[in-house]
Amino acid sequence: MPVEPASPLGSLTEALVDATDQLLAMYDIASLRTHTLDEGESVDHILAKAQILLRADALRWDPGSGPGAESAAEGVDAAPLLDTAEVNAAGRTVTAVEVADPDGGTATLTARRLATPFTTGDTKLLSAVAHLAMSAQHTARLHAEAVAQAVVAHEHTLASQLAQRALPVTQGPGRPTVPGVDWFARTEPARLAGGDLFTFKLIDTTFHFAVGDVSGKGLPAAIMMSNVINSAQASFKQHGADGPIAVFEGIEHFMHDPLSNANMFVTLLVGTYDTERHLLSLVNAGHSPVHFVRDRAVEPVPASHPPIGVIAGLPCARLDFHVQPGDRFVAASDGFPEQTDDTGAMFGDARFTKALADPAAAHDFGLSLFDTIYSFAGAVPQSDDLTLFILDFEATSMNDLRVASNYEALRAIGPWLDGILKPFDEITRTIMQQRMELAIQELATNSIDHAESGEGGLTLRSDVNSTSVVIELSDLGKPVDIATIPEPDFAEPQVRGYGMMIAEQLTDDLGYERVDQRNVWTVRFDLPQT
Amino acid sequence: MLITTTPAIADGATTFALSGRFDAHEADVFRSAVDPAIETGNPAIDINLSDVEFLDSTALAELVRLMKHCREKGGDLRLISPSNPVTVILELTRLNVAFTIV
Repeated sequence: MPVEPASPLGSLTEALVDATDQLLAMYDIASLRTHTLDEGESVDHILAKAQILLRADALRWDPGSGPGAESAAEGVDAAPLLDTAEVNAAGRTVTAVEVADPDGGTATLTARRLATPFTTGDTKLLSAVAHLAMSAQHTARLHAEAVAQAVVAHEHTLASQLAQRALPVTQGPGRPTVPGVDWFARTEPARLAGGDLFTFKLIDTTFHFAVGDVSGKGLPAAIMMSNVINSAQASFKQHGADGPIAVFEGIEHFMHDPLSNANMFVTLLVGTYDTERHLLSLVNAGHSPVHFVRDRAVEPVPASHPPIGVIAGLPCARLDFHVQPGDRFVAASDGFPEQTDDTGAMFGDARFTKALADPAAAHDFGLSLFDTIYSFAGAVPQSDDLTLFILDFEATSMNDLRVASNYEALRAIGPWLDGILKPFDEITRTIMQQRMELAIQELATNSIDHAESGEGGLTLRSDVNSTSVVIELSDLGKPVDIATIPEPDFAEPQVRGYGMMIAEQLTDDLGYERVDQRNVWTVRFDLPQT
Repeated sequence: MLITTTPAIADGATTFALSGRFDAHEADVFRSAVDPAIETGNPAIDINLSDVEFLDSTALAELVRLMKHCREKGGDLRLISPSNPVTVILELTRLNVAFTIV
């Protein structure tokens, strides 16, 4: 069909419409905002606008590298775009520009249009569009990488937190009360998680513990650390009665192969403290620093076995210490002596060893040693995990009694009171003993039943003076709200609720306070007037 | 705590003589000793407390529970010759007026 020549007015109108479309397309491209960070979608958007701008009937984007596939303006089959024979036959013209990809390689933008050849200006415009498409493509890829990294970082944080949760709590109801021992334990990883560890378990009258350092840092060390703790807990229960060598061999049995296969190892100190025989027994598998302190003299505890994960099945020696009141045992990690200051100097073994003779109580001493290291480091980041485990062996006396949180254990209270009242005459002893034992039995039963004092046990202390005997009973159980303890209804016999009333009637003063996560009951019994 | 049981004769009461310490640790032992006597159909129980050296509120609660159980079934629980420590706690809790004490 013959083509009607366009009228001058029609051509002018058509040219004006085209010019307006081009201006709008240029505006769209120039004001392009990143409305999407999807690589393909953002490039398609640019090509669609560029097609109008260039009056092209097809645009083809070859990204050159990366995950994006070739992209073409909508509605155009891009495949025959560069077919020269077809181009010539249809009277089409084709032009192409290349643009460097920051990720490597070269991207190409090709345009095709009917009849009208591309001018130098068209080619420059095509080049500008190609750079814009490359910029959008690169931004989208960077965003995708950032999202992927954020997901990995989040999972790393969660895994680190989970691994650190293998460490036992040292405060509150989970903290065991070890008769005759004031103890402290704390670990601070250099990163979110670390390979340093401590763990413990009080079984009957024996306190089992382990302190160690898995080689490496960060999450890989922490994952292995949590496995060592689980193995130690299992071995405490399974082999605890057979002593620290059996416990150590149990841990080694579980952990040697996993550590060795991962080219890792753990330095581990395994110990037991027999609270009745006052005997501290240790197996030291290459852990350092470990020290025993008596009369301010600090003695290193040598290794008696290589670290676990190096060589399996070697015999190990046991080191025994018959402890005396005032003795101190310290197992730390090498993060303490190896911490550097801003000059690069290390804290060092000499300073660390000297600090151990500090006469402060275990908790205060432990915290102050951490503060000392942080002060020494100043602005220098913590270079390694820091772990500190302290046992201070207390002077025991007849004034103190520690009992487990069960009814049978409370039977130790009567004989303990006999000892306290021994200085008094027989009549006074008879009068005092009966009411004191019943009152304290009621408070202690309350502690077991309501405060759920649990593993922490009960601690009783006495103070005897010329007019009264004061007993302090404390536990690590839940806080007690005295106001909510009901008064018994005397009109109707009840099966509960008499305990506190009995204690109040038998004592001359009864007080309760919550101190440092402990329930502390203080009761006063006035001596009979002579 | 030692529990000595004397079975009921004819329509009389089953007697349990306790000696030693009756405290929270003995509550389960006491319950398993006396409950079968009521379940067999004789709700008359005598508890001889003359040799009890120590009794706490948990043990007292067991006696209250048993008394209520006996009375619900038409019988009674009698406390026989309570020792001084037992008398003291009964008076402190005013349960001396609730129990039948012989």
